[in-house]
Amino acid sequence: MADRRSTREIMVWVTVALMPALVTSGYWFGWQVLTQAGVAVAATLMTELICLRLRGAPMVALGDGSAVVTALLIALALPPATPLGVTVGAAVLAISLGKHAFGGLGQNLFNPAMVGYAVVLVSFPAALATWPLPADTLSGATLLEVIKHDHGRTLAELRLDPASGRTGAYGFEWVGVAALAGGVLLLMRGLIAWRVSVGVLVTCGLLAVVLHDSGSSNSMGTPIQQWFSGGLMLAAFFVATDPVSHPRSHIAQWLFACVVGSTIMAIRGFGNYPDGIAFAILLGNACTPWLDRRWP
Amino acid sequence: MIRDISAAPVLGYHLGKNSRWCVQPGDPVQKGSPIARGERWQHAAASGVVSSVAESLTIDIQQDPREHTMPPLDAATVSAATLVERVQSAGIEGLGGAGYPTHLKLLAALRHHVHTIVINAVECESGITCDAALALWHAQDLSPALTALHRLPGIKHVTIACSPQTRPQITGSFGIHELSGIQPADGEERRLLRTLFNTDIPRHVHPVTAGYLVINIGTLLAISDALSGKPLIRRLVTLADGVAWVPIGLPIASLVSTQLVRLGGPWSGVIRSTSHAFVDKTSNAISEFTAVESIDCIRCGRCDEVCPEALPVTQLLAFSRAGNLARLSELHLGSCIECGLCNPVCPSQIDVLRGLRNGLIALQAEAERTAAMQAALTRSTRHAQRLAELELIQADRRATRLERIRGGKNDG
Repeated sequence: MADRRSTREIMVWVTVALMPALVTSGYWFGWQVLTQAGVAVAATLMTELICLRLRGAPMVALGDGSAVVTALLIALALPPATPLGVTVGAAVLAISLGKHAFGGLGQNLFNPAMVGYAVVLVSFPAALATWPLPADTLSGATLLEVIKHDHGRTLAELRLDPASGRTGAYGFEWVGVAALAGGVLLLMRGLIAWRVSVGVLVTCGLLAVVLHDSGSSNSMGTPIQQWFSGGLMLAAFFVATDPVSHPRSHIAQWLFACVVGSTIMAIRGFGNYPDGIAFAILLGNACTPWLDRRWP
Repeated sequence: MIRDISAAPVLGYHLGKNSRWCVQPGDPVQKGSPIARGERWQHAAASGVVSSVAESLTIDIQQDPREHTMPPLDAATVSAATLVERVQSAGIEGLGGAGYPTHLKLLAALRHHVHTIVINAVECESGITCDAALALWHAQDLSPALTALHRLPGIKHVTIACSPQTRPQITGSFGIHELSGIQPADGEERRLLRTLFNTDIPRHVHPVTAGYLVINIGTLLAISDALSGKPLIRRLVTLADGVAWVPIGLPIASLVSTQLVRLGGPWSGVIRSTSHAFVDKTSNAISEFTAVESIDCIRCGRCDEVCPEALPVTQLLAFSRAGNLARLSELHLGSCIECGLCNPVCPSQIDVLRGLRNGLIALQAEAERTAAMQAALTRSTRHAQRLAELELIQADRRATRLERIRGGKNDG
């Protein structure tokens, strides 16, 4: 038989590819992220179990590994100090509302992790925008928020802000590098659609050039700053590439990536939220049925 | 040499389309004597006694050295009509796996002025090795059939299509076309013609109407045998341990130990229960099958990527399950060649091909319903038209008669 990778194996690989990002996040933002991950995994598996039982679906789906991936993405999206109740809420909503309400694995219109994350994000916007910063070990606004709202300093001056890292955002830049490494692993193993990842990154990069405004005090930052801030790398390689909720044909995948990338940049540039990953992904997901239909 | 599998104590046959049994329970039969006639002749693969003729005909084998044969025909002088008749009465069907009666194919070829005959020695699926074994071991036996086919009116070229490794060692007035780098589904009729002659024949057009007759190499050997007087009573079957000659009618349960069996190649084969299943003329491969539990589709798209016809398989499977016939035909499910390449790549172990086949069956049924409805509509429209015409004629007659009566009165 030809090379047959099981769905479970795919999920194991995605989990493995997420590990560098998880460890890096722990190193920069505190090891509570591991607690978050553990709680999220327990909550997703529990919800999965209950939903499968309620639906009368075979329990074998519990072992497919998709719930673990969802849990890890939620844990990485939430700041480490997020109250665990919020984490559990996101996990439960992700699996129940995001997945099983649509009929289980493969049937969901939206990425489950982003459904859960988006609900808690709109419920607790302030708490979820606060990440640990280095200088005073207090928490504060991230680079994306500083860039957006601080019109008093030029981009060069902002580089000295504690929210800035070496090139991107403090901490996030290294999580981004780790996510990029994991993403390249998945790409090399042919487990994700490269057009989606590349499309999202290119769209964001091009729009960042437009919004750069030669580094003035109105600048939205360089493409490098945009790529290595917030959750963009994770989104490009682990969320947008969820095969269930992105379209299939090549042209449709490029367009999907365009929608996601430009929505991220629109929210980063002009929206009320510092980062717009979850909403951009959900909007892209919503376009998927039409894209699939128009470009089969 | 290719090994022979001898007959089990019982042989079984299912009646073909447009045919009838020509023996009764209790009748003695000899090896090679006809048991069914009509569009699809069948012959006993071994001597014995007919034990039952119900939904299937079974023969209890008894030792009898006699063999029923037909008078041999000379390939160099046989007429087209005689050849077609012999092919029919020898019970020859497409042995590549399609099982379409070969005499009907020949008749269609003559009717449509076919100019090129392609002998297909490229397996329809790379998991099957009948064609290769035949090309290697029976090349010499192909000559009479090649000669006879070449002499059919209108035939300009006869070409054997094969892979370089399995080139048959024969020479004659025909071409041999070696195809290098054969991909799994390349033996499919239309794909083969596309490779050989760069002609794109759409799914709804039969290659014969485009001037090409494709005959499987196994069928060709059967035609050679028929010319020498032997009906088709055995075929090559790819089994787990290699290719073997198997008597047609052999109970499949005697070849495998499982409850379920895959008839056809490892990718495109269909799953059947072994009870009441017999080797028939389409059984190109038989393998044991154990059901695997599949999980849900995650739309990973591997099936889309391997599809040789570039179909959106992920979507087709979903629409097929949902019974959305409109979308199935819009997305050209009809172009599916049922190669089954989508099955081994599925990470969720889904029998994708089975899903697609369900869709194809549903589309076919829908097409038949539509055709029947259209026919009924046409009939009722014509009926209404005739009634209206009759009404007009009668009205006309009434008017004329009235005219005449009135005219008569006036005259009077």
